[in-house]
Amino acid sequence: MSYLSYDELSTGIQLLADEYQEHCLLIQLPYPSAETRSIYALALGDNQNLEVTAAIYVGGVHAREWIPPDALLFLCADLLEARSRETGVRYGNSYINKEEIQQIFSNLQLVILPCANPDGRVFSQTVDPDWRKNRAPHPRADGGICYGVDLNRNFDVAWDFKQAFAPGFVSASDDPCNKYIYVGPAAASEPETRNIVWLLDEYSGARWYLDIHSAIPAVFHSWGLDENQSETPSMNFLNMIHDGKRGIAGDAEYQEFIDASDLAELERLSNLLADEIQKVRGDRYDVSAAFSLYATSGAVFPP
Amino acid sequence: MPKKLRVSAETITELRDFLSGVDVDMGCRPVALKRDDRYVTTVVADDGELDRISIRRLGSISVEVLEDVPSPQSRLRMLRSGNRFLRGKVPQGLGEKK
Repeated sequence: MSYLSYDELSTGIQLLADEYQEHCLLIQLPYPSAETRSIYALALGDNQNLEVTAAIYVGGVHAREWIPPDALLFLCADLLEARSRETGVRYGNSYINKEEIQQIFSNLQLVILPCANPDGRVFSQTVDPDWRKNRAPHPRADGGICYGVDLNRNFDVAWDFKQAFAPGFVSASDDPCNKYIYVGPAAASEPETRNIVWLLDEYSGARWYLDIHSAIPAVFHSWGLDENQSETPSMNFLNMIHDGKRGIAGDAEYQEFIDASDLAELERLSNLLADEIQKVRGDRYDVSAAFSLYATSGAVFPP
Repeated sequence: MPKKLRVSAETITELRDFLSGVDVDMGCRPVALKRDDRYVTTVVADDGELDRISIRRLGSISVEVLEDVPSPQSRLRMLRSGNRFLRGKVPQGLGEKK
């Protein structure tokens, strides 16, 4: 089976929504892409209510990582077919039985956006397979144009990396011509970023956020800004008193606050995810906080 | 042809210092994982940069070439034209429904 094009992803999502109307809702995201493509998601669940407890899955943020959008579309297909036919679903040695499928659809919504960055995917699948960003045009200082923003540096979480982080300790660039990590002209400047923000705001019952990539076999959890600490709540990315000190590994001057119970739950869920992945194909994914080598600014803020 | 490399060092600081001086693609998130007593990351470098990396290697830094990165042409050959759902065939996943 070959990878899906963006047209196929869009058609596939709409076909699933038509076929399984009782068990899902088609969402057309409010902001078309920079090149005006429509972007679709599916909300899987028998109760279509924005306040139902929800998990949000996003794929395709980085255009060159081709498999997550395909995997998310086919996950939707499997879950919807299993719900409709009242069966379970098996992937390798990982099995979700029919009662669990029914519980998921009765009690939760799975809001799944298979491809957040359609323009990047199209460009990556037709011109440059190494393309990662979106395709918005941005002027250069010399009057030319460079294309694309790294959507995973464009969210309003310590977006202003030159202010927030110690120099040289963050993976980000304010050069529109940087092929991989241009942060954009402003936080959430890109329509594709704003769609994800919209999902998080609109689905007030969202409790979990999964950003699916495929560069390396690992499960990362918050935070990616600095090492975690649970003793000093005021030491967090919103507190400007710590500007310029973030991102240095091994120092005590700044570490990102996370509630101890939240961290324990993130570690539990991340390990559970790695356990299930291992049951499918046998590969053991590493599990850790996202910060190690460099900090990352402007990545999405989990609920 | 670009190569995928495994770069490791005894400390995060040493690894970061080394990578800050080379032009490599660090993937979607620049992370280092602990393997035994070393910190390891995976990067992609083109041939010219690989030559520079070989010369620049210092201290506990170790660089291992893992594989060639598929060429753009070979990646594009993984795609097909057309829309396989256009005739209304509903997508079916790879999971076994039972």
